[in-house]
Amino acid sequence: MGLIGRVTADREARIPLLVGSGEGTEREVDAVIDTGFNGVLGLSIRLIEELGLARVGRERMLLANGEFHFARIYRAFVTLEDSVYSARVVEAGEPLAGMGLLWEYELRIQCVDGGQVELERLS
Amino acid sequence: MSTEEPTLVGSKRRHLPEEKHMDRFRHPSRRCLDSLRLLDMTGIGREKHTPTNTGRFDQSPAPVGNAAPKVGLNMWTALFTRPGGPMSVQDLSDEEFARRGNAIFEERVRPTVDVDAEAHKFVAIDVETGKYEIDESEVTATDRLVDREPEAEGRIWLRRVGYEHAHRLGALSTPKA
Repeated sequence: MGLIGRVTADREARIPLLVGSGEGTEREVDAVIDTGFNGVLGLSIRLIEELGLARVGRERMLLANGEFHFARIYRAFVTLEDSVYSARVVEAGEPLAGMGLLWEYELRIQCVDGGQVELERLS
Repeated sequence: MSTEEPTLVGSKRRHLPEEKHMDRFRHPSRRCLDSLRLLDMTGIGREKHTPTNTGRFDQSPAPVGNAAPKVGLNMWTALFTRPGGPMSVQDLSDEEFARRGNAIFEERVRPTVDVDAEAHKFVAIDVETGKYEIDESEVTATDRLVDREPEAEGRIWLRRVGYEHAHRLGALSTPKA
């Protein structure tokens, strides 16, 4: 059995993630699975500051409305199924788990209120 | 292709927390060095290219972007010295940071890649030195550049081979009211 999350009444599939800076600060976040985001992880600026994530650089993102948005990129460490991964984080309004994080995993979602979200590593 | 042979690996790379790189931008001498490198990148102070002046920048990479007026080091230092210390690439606007990164891409990276076949690959570019790495994974590309050049952390422009934007996002989501 892989990582378990839940579907909310807002029709969001959420999974719990442990995100750390690599220097001791860690937070458990409830991240929305966003397959429209092809990055790894999005976090709010407030959470990025709380975690003290190191800045890696900058990038330009393409939004759904066709506009471009400059974003800072940060380094974080994400725990998924007892494995720690290096991740790149971009600024977002709330925690987002993108396709980069889900890569090489199988995702199963029961699309009902309270439905189960399962994330299992592909062998 | 990249300055080194690319390694095709998955998007995730396992790291131990102790592998995290230190913030290298707070040390005064480092900031000073950054400022001097920035000077060279812009082409300002290129008196070094004249036969009578073979200064410390002789071995540095070619300048990026539009030709800049030739002014001396003192002038540059005066222009970019702020109360908080010398200016570095960290102080650049997003637009200027992107312009430099994309100029380096056009000059150094594009001639070495198959833009159509490798359009999806990430390019991590140090906007100060022009060094870069290419990989299927943004994590691997940026990590490899920082492994090779630790000072690059914080001044990396990330893009794709085929696109100036690195990622797509459904929208800039907003928290619940």
